[in-house]
Amino acid sequence: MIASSLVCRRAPVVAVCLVLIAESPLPAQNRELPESVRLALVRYAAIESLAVTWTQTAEATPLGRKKVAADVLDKIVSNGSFVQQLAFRNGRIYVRRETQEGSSWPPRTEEIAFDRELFYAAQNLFYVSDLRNREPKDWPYLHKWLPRNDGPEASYFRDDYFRASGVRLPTRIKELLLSWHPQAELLALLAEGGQIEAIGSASLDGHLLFRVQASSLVPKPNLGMRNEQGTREKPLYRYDFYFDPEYGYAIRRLEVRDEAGRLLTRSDCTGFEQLSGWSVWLPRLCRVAVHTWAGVQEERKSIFNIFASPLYIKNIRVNAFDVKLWPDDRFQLKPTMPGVYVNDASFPEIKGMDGVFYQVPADPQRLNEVIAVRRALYQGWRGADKRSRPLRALFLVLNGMGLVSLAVYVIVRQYKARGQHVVLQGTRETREEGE
Amino acid sequence: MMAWWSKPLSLGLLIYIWTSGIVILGASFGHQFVTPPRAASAPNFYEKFSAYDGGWYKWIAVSGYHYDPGQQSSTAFFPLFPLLGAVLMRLTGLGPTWALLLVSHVCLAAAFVLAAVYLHGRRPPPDRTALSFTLLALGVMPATFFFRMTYSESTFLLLILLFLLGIQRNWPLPTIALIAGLASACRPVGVGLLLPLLLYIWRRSPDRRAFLLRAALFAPLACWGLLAYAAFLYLQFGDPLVFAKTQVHWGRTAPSLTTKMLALLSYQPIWEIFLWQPPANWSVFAWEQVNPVYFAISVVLIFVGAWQGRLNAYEIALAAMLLLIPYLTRAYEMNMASSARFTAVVFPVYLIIGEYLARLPPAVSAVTLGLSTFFLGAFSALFASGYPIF
Repeated sequence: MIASSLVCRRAPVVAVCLVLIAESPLPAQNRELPESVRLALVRYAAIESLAVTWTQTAEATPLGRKKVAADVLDKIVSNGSFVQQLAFRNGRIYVRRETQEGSSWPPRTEEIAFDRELFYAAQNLFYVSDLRNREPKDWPYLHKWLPRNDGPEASYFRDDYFRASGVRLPTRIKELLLSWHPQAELLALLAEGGQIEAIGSASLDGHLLFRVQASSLVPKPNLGMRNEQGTREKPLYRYDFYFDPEYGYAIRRLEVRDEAGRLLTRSDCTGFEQLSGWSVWLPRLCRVAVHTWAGVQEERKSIFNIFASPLYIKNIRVNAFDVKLWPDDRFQLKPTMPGVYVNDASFPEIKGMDGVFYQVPADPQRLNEVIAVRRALYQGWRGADKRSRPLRALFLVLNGMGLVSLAVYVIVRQYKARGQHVVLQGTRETREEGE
Repeated sequence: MMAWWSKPLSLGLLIYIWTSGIVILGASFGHQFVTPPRAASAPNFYEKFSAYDGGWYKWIAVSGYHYDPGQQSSTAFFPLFPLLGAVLMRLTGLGPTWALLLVSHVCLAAAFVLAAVYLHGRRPPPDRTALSFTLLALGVMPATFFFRMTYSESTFLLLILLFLLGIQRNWPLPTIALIAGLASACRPVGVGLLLPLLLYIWRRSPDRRAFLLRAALFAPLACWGLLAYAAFLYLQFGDPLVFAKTQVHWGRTAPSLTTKMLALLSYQPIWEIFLWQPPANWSVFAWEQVNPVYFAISVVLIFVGAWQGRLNAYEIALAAMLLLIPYLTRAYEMNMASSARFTAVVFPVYLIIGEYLARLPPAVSAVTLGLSTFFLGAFSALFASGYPIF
């Protein structure tokens, strides 16, 4: 039994050795991915349902503390430390993230979901005064909106763990609206037009690995790179995948470089675990070294600064894998507690991201009534624009009439004053003549 | 002989104390008895005086300025008021709310005294009743409750009155320009003092050449506060205009300049809000509806006062600028939000109200003031209990 298991696990290693012996590495030459590797990577697409819960932390390196502004670094570190769960099934996706804020604040919980019809975003803290009073309260808030009213490039789902482990999940709205499955990052790149630059073998911590170098032929829009001297260059990504044949070609290391070969990120994954019922292994631990950062004012232009050493490290530790099928309603967020603030933009008449605002009443029986009243108010507000047109025209006409009347008044007044002056002058002249 | 209580100092202070008492009582009532629209954000009573923008000033006094192009930033709030609060905090060890409240109230008390002095010096001199009614109007008009909160309005009012007094008493040009400059460090509309200043220069200049020379010299001086703030922002954040740029995070964005101008010319921001809801939902306690009405009434009062010759040229110029600047710059974007507060500092409005109240039968004046006092207390209560009064 043990022997057969060993044989099963060692078989891919033997296979990759045979593949590599047969095909010695030829850098800078286009290569086809060996069928055995392709078949192993295709298996990711078969994962029907998966929920992964992980703990993520971020720590700044001495170089990061030197090169990155303190407030920006604080933001990176504090935003990069949380416990997150990401689940997907049949085109639906759900994310829950818990972040520990300042010591006196309660943990912040954020949930984002997509049930193939609507997007949902919820949070437990309602920052009434935001920066002004800095007093977050435990008032849940829920926002629902239609995908058509959001930007196709908008992305709300953070998938750091999956990125680090070389699994591509759709995160942008336009991707989520299509029929999708998880994909191996390498296959996703190739499907987008990327190409394999080289295939070879490598050894890492005593593991014999299958190495694939690929480049992305799809330059990301508006993306410019800046080196330490601050000069901008044409963007292009180079990927270095280190697959471990011992674990179904799971990724042990993934490096992303720019066109000049400068390292942007390096992910190292360990502690592989086979998903129950699937021939897929996923790592329990990932360490991501980040060598770039975008300044706050430069963020919109996406100009990144690149350094030879990492600026900060992201540590990801998986707490649990769950392959049970999640029911559909777990991908929907519903306001159940009284007092929840809801921004409901799920109605067909809503044209933007913001919709009908209401608060869930203490008596749940009154919820529909509250929604109906607020929805009527919303419709009244939307209709106001149409109703305001005649009023606007009326006031503009009245303005014109007022201006004309004023002008006439001034002219008449001046005319009268001049007339009086002439009469007075005439009288004076007559009197002088008489004298 | 003038009774002790009708002298400017005592009369101003008396009216300040009485009318501020109404606001404090109203806030106390709101704190204890009015159900807040959501869970209370500040447990202490005195913290109720620093809601909404008052919180921003507190933040600046404690932590200084910050700017984030992606969200509302404290750079929108001018520095004089929080700076005075911060200085007081360091000198006395007071907390930010108490320090800012102290600044607010000292400025307001001084403003009442200056208003009384200014009224005594007006030509023709107002009778005693009109003078008292003017000060009472300044104390009990509903939006004046902001003077007693951690807001910069009372500091700005004090500077406006000092400016008007300087003109009335023919103070030297540099002094008046310096006061106007200080006002421009207090609130963005401080630059509105430029117009009455130019008028003053014009009247004091023997010829056009002298006017141009003096205007070129004193107009920049009258903006020194704004220029100093812009220089600080440039040094701190690399952009002198971030105080204006961060405004995009407050309110809506106009689709085009034409749309905005058409809306402003047709007074759309004033009446639009009433179309959003059926008349059955209109309410005198809904501050978003009070804002445009308050503004419109003030405009009408200034217009009528000017037409009837009850205001001098400086008062008209000052009122026009203080009403026009916020209307042209923010009324469309903010749906007239805060316009009642912006209007509260237009001192000439109180001159007109005072004169009309003095001419009305005493009973009618008393009821009018009583009604206004009721709303002053009511809005103080609603503000203190967390309702969106801003």
